[in-house]
Amino acid sequence: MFQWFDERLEISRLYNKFLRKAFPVHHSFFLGEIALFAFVVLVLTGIFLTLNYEPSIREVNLPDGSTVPAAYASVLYIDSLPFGAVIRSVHHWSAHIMVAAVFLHLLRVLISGAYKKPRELNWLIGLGLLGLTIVTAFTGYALPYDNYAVTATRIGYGIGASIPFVGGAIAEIMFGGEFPGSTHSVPRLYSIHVLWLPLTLIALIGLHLLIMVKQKHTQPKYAEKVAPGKILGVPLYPQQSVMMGILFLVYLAVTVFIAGAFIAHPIEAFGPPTPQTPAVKPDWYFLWIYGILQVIPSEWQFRFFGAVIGPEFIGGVIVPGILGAVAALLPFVDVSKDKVRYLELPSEHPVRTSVTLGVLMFFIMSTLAGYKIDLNLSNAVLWTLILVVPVLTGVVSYILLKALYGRSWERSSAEPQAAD
Amino acid sequence: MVMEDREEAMREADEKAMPTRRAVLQAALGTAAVATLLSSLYVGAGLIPRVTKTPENEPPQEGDILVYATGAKMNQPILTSDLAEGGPFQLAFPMDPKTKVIRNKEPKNTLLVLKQPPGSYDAKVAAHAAQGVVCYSAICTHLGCTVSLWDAAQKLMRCPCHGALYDPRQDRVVSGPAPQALAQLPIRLEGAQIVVAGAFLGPVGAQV
Ligand code: HEM
Ligand code: FES
Repeated sequence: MFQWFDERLEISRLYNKFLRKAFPVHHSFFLGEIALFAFVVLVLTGIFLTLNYEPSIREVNLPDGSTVPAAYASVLYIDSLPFGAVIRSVHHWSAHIMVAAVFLHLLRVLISGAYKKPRELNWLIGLGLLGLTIVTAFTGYALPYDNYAVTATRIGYGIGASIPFVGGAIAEIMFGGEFPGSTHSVPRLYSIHVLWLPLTLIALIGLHLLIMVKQKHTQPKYAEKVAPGKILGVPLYPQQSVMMGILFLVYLAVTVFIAGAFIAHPIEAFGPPTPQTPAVKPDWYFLWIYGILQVIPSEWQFRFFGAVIGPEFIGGVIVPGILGAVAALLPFVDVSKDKVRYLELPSEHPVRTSVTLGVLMFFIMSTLAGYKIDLNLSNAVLWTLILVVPVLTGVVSYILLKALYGRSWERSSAEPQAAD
Repeated sequence: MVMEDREEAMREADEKAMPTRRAVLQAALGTAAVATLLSSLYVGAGLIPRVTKTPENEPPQEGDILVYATGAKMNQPILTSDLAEGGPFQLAFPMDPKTKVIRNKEPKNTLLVLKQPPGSYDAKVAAHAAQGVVCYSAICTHLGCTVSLWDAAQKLMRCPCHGALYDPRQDRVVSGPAPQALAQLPIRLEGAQIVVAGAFLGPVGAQV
């Protein structure tokens, strides 16, 4: 039987060539896999949701006599199905987990120097995946069409529309007209959310993995000691596959438990849209932008060839845009002559490590600014926190790293490789 | 011998025709590319939806009366006697008094009305108020949330989204990220009913 297939499909060649690929074992290498698991779970639960979701805001009557948008009513219906609310909650929780896992995966690659030659391409694809994942989550957010989601999405519409010259058109195309209000919005967002972005994600994830297989992983440091110059790891089949299978089941068990215990986005509690907007906060991964928007004063507005450069554009587009651009340029600025084969230790690259910590602190401080009203903080205090604390964090980390590891830098700078 | 001459002649002719042939092919490719681009732009323009005007999404018209947008009395006329002097405000939609159509399909028609002591307004605002009652667009000029909170201590209107504070007496932004004041809607009173007396006095909605 095996032979019959093998003679026709050359399975053993595939096995030798591909399924024996060595996977280095390191706990931080599982972050990318967790992102992948989250995506698989999102696709599966998402398909379930599409079977009963109605992408429309036409008015329908509920049994209690109230009139609500059809999308809202259909999500109430999903929630009433056996395990319907749990599956929807798993979908929502997995969206959080996927964003978090992709971001942490990126941090891992960053502080271990794995973005350097020859892996620049996969670094760029990874950045694209992070962006697409966030946009996908954003387009799905409005679909239940409850008061909270509609308000949050409305703010996103405003930020998109604030881009000079082209913003209005981009926002109208993405949201199918003015959001909220246009009857085309929900069908448009729906198609983008369940079809176009998932297809693009699948294609990019595929490419990401193919390139990874071709270029091979960076090897953990221990591999250099155990077998210098050799590739060390467990084969994809069977060992790595079994590990991944187990990890996937663990992932599934944990998310279903969390999702069942804490139902995400309870639309019944938020209610259908009303003319009154609730005080909304965006999802956690947008909070830092939300915080920056809170502290930029309205005077930061100027004209540029007839277009208005306003605070929303500065806070919502320029600041994240600069961070994205710096990240995209990184592998072309921080170059290495030879192909990087081994993970670099964060302790041996103090500048990169301290700058990374500083940027993380910037995210944390801007997120804190998102609680400006709740914590009754003034703009002056928040600006100081946003600007000073990250710099301080970077400087202190550098000093600490130097105190702890400075001796080993001197030793390794005698050797040619560790220059940073 | 004759055969070879003919072959030679054909090859020469072929080589001479080469540049022309190439030019024709290039022109054909170029035309096809331009045609494809233009037609996909034409079809792609359909991604921006057409807006159909209906009475429900028209902006407030002169003569419309204001009705409650929320609460127990939703869709009933707001009476000046219902408004407490000194706030809070009420959210409202304009309603065509003849057809009873409420123009609530356009979020930018969300209005807020409130009553303050007539002397507290500055001249510009007072000109379009009626016996202490004023009406503004309720859509925050920042990113388009509904200005729906009343700061009773300072007697100011607050947007719940990023905290913009608006002063109803001088029609200005007190603090926060909003780039512009809320657009005032001129009103007059007919009995206890509040009637729209003209178009918005400024741009409505997020000013981005
Ligand atoms: C093939 C893939 C996917 C399909 C078919 C799908 C389908 C759907 C559908 C039908 C809804 C609306 C029903 C509801 O809100 O419960 C929804 C909501 C949502 N989706 Fe997806 N989705 C997919 C992938 C993703 C991905 C990759 C993300 C994020 C990384 C995501 C994030 C969300 C979020 C945040 C919501 C709102 C959930 C809520 O109502 O609480 N989805 N999705
Ligand atoms: S939308 Fe009102 S302050 Fe931002």
